Amino acid sequence: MASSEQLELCEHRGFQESFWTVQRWAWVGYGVIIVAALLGLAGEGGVFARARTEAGANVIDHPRFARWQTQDSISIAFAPNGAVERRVLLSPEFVRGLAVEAIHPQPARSTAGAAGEDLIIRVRSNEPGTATLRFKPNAPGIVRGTVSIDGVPAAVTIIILP
Amino acid sequence: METVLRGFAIYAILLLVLRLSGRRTLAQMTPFDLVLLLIIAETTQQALLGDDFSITNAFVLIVTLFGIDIALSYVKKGHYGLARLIDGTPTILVSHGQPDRRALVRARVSLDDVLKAARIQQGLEGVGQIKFAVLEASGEISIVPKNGNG
Repeated sequence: MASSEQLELCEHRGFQESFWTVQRWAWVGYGVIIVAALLGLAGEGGVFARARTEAGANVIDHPRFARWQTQDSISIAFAPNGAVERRVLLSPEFVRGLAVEAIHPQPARSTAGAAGEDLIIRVRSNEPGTATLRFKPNAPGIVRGTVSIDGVPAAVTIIILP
Repeated sequence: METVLRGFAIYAILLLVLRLSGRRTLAQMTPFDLVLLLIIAETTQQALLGDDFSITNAFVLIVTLFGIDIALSYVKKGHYGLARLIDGTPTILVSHGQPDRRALVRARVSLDDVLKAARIQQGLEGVGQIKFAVLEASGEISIVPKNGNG
């Protein structure tokens, strides 16, 4: 070990050694964060970034992890049931937690009520159709709510990262 | 309020990541390191400002960042342990011409880096002419030549 003889210096080698060890562990942490992000745990793509939830025969594709003030989307794949008007009900938790900015196709009617936001979306009868809701999360946290399609509810949870 | 919180969060994240990444990143800055630093600055800017590009937001943010920095400097004056943790301590890399291999490896500094500093600062030709080489807390390498070499 180097000597600090004749040099007025507070080296604190013991502290430095401990800190170097902490640094190495932190670098392992960097690796874990990068792998987690690649897997989608930080949102924006990756195997675990999105989830599929079934509401009857319909499928809701939504993000597991979204980012605060960053646009994301929920896709609803309607299974054909002969009806031309499909009813999507977003529970109040969703309405509070997510600012819906656009819906494609545009709903024929939308009604706000105590039960949430009711959307009537027109589709071709006996053909599969897809509706996409683009939203921006209002605040970091966890949004737990239900998306009901033609009265069949599905629990959807989205973790909003800061 | 959100602006101030953003300022605090980004300041803390940058402080933590820069400190944990080690001093070498700032000490031997290559042109690529400089580009990396600019990218980090650009990345941080978006997170700091959010969607609000108003002068008010920028003003509050600047005041917040300077405020944290000033407050931290006062706290560090009173708490030596905290200062050591945040700023780091100097490390002796070469003592009386003998390189401390362990310190060099752990600090991610090569002997070439030390020799380069010795050449630039003191015009020294070899490690034998170095009395002390110190990796300062600021990330610079300072060289004390042996008597007769300075």
